[in-house]
Amino acid sequence: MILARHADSLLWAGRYLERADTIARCVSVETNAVMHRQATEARLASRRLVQALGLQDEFVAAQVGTGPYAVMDFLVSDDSHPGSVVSAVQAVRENLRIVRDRIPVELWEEANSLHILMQSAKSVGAAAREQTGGEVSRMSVITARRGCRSLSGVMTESMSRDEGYAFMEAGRLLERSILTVELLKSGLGTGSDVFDGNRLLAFTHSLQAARRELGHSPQWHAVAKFLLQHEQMPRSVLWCLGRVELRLEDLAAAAGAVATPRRRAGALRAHLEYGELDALLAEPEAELGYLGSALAELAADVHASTVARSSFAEVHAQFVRPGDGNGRPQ
Amino acid sequence: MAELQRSDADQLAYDEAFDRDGNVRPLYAAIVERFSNFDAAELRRREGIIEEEFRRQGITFTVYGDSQGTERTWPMDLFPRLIAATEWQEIERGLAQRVTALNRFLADIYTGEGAAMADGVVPAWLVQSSDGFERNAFGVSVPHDAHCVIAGIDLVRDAEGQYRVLEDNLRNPSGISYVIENRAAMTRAFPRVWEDHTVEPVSQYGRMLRTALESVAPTGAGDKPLIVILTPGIYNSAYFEHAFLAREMGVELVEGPDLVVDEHVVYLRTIEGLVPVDVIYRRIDDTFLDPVSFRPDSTLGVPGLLGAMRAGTVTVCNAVGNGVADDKAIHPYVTDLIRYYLGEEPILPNVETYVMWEPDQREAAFERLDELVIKPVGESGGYGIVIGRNATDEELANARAEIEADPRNWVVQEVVELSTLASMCDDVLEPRHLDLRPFVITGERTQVFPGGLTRVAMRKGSLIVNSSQGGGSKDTWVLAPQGETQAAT
Repeated sequence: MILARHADSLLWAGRYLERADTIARCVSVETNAVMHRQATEARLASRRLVQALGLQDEFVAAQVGTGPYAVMDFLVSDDSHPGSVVSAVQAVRENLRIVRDRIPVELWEEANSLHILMQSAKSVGAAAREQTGGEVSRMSVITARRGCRSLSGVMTESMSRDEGYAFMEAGRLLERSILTVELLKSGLGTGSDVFDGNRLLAFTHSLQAARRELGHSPQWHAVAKFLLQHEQMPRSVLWCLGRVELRLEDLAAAAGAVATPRRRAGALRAHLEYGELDALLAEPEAELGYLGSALAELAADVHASTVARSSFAEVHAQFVRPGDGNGRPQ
Repeated sequence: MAELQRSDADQLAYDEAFDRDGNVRPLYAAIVERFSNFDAAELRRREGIIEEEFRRQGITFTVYGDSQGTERTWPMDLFPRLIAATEWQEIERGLAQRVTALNRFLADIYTGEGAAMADGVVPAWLVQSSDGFERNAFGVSVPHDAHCVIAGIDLVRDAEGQYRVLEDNLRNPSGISYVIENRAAMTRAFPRVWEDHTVEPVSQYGRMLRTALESVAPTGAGDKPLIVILTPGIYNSAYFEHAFLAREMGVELVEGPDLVVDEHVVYLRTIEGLVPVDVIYRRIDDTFLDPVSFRPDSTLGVPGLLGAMRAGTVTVCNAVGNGVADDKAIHPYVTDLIRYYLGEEPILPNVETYVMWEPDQREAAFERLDELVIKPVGESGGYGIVIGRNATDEELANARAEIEADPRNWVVQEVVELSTLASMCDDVLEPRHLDLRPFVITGERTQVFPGGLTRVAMRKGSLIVNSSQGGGSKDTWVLAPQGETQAAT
């Protein structure tokens, strides 16, 4: 049994955990690249990353400076918008704090410690960060990545495989799929800011595994197939959807409300597993657009399945009261 | 070696560790010996370990109105408070006796015949005029008459070392989680101090409370009643404790909107639909509990909850209306209530209190107001208190006028010189004033949890032990009988 509100918190804790992990990884990949590039070029590429992470509006609103590490700061330590690593870590911590009584103590403690570390890095001023050549941001990125790894380690090793786990894992894998599709989009086109295949694989933590199969200079098409359709790679969208489907099946026996997202997850998984991906990727924008919106709808459906029914009419509609007629089920 | 300061020879208060001649009391001999082996730097280092650990674990409390934003780590002083086994047995009996009588009193008021009022033990008008008196609670009975399942009784030790009851907390006493976390922290920071003592464990609270809560489930709840803790949410000052207790008991931690009442049954909103609830350990105040019966603007409560309680489908702990029995104006009558209901002499005396609506007591108090403590009945947390010996003539005259205008709202107490104990201040261990809040659990029977929360005023001479006002806490050891002999030898 799980409270609807707790299910919701765990779903979002999972999503934010994945988000913090992914942004930190992308920033770490980009920071390495920045050091070896011309300032303008580096800046363009960083802007492209901001776009891929869906933070265009926040970026404009934040009036980010022009220094080479300003974009990194925006992505790592700026808590004025919800898309930075520091904000995502805070959201993980707040959501886990709500369910602190039902998750392993270590999971809460890891999240709390990571939050404390990230907050102290944040308090170093932007000017100081710029002076040290992004040193502080780099250290926070390392801290964040390590923290995310231990969080997922504790989650995997000590959380009971109950409804709470199902929601948290579904949240993580949905967020991962959504970000993977968005990052793939940033490898399309011809401009100098387009990310090459290796960069896309590094962003998605798949470089090493893909190198063995695709060699050293994979083309976008091959990378896209790898990241969308690979059956063994826990970073591929197909793999993620398969797991989401399993988690929703775990829940479906008790919670009727997950029937809709479960169907949708199955349909989308089948699309990737049995669809003619080569043909579909002939028009990559259209295919990625479709996948992006289908995943967003799926995530919205899973979220909707956790929302408690609030009106009395709905409350009455959802349970039949057996028993002795005086109101108390026997 | 860290300097362990004796209490001043002219100190009026009782010192827990040293007698009036400055000799270590036998009870504290071993721990004083241990601590005198640490220098100040070493003690600071261990203090750092505790602080860091509390921060990492998120063992915090929230200070309202603090611009720093809210969460502060729990303050714990390194030097533990010790209570001898024989001493504790006396306290334990006294507390069980007191809480038993208070529960009888509450049952008498709300579901009984008001016998204590009819027989003139407590004036009926005083009961009815109490802010904590709740007409909505009339006729709502509680299994085993356990109106107060969790009580926190504040004890102080006077200049002779006698424990006295300063205050009863029968509504939502908090602090038990810190008792348990203090012990855990002490164990980590001083792994070897346990070699000299056998200390009563404190880890059993979750089981103890759960058993009590199960025992007050409504008849018909079955043998595995569904228990929940109702919290106002993560911004409440005691949220850490709420989550801690839910974890220790293995029950759900819920907020008002997670519960819904339909036809006098309370349900939990889960992803599987609605699940009926049997027992609610609520950590929100009476007036927020049910917007239908109390404050209509409350968003923390559950509409219709009181109806469900009345229908007997759910038990809410602590019961509604307990505030009448921990009213400061009722406090002076509690010893008489013990005699009345139990036919026994009270084991723990009250702090001597004068009620202002009795002309004789008022006049006597007015004659020596500059030696006494004047307390408004309706306040808590130390607000509005006038300490006679520190007050100006004008302040005393004002207090006098206010008492005459509304005698129901004031009590006057003898000054209690709170006992002191060595506490880490800068780089020395200096005596600081402290109190003790033991917790008393009532289900089928009344049990006292060993020890309790020792709160300490960290400012020299201060009697304010409240954590929101800079007070600290101490791990509190009740020694097992064999531990005492060991410590004494």
